[in-house]
Amino acid sequence: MQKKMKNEEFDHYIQSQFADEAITPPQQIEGAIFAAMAKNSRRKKLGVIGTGILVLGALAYGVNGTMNTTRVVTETPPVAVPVAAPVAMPVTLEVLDQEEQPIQKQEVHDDVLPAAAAAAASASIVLEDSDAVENARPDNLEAVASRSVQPVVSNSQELPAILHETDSEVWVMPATVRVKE
Amino acid sequence: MRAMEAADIHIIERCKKGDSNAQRQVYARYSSMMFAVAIRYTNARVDAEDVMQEAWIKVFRHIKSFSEHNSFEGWLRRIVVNTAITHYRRNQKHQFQLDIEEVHATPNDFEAFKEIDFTKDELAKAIAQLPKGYGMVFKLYVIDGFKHKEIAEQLGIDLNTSKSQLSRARRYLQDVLHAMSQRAKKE
Repeated sequence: MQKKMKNEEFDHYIQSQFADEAITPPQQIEGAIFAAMAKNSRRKKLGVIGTGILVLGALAYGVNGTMNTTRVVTETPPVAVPVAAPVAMPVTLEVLDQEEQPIQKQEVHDDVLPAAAAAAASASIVLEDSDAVENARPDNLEAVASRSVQPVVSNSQELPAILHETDSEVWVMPATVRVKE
Repeated sequence: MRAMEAADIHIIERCKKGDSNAQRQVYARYSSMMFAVAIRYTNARVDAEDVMQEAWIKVFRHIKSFSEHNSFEGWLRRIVVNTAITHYRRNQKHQFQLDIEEVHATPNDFEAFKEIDFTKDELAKAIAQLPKGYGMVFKLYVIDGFKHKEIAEQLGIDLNTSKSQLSRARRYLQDVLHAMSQRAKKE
């Protein structure tokens, strides 16, 4: 055949020649392929088992860790509470109303004031002596609860409202305290 | 490429579930085509066997991603071609640029080609004589229908390099076929 052929025609001609190409592969290739497949499959199964074991281990560890964490959390609040609430208030009460309960005020003063002073510097002291603080806390709260004086509620968010009610006095807690004598 | 028949779809579904009998049926049906493609791209039987094995493992590993809306044979062909390209790039990474310099453009600036009375084997031999870089671009573009952009991405070359290599491959092939034709006439 003697004729001119453009690139596209030539490409098409070549493509058509190779459209149904087929060469029988050697027999051993099939065996090698399926042996490799089986090997991969076994490896995959082992991987799945290994992963399962790891996941179970991680879950067990996680559950254990969560339980430990929960225990720690339950122990934490009693440590934090004494530092915030009763520390400053007995001072105020003591000064405001010495005649009402002098004994209790003294007890509170002895137990809590060192802790208050120390708590500002280091929380570890409270942790070390947490039993003492916890034991002291109900007494303090009882003492506070028995008061009819408004500032017993020492929550910092409620404090401004209380300060507004006491027109004649301006309290700046906890640094400055004006004492009515 | 033939359309997907219900029987084919059923076998493929079984392959997706890991049925080894179905996998062997698929292998029996398409392995000749796959091996021919592998040989065309590697030009060596030993390399073709490696490519073939690697390609089939990929096929069965990724068969779940095959959609019945597409041509299964086309999908297989793509996998074996891509595997052959990977094999080629692995082996020829440092020789690819040399290929470009090895062959100079032929003096005849033919747009056309005169002699096409060649058998498939003769064409295959002529294509196999192309320098590897040219041959790879030619086979991807002309025989397997890749676009220049795809070829550039697959081979890690510039788009214009792909185009110029195809042009040079055509010229080179013309010369090879012309020489074969001359020899045949003398004989």
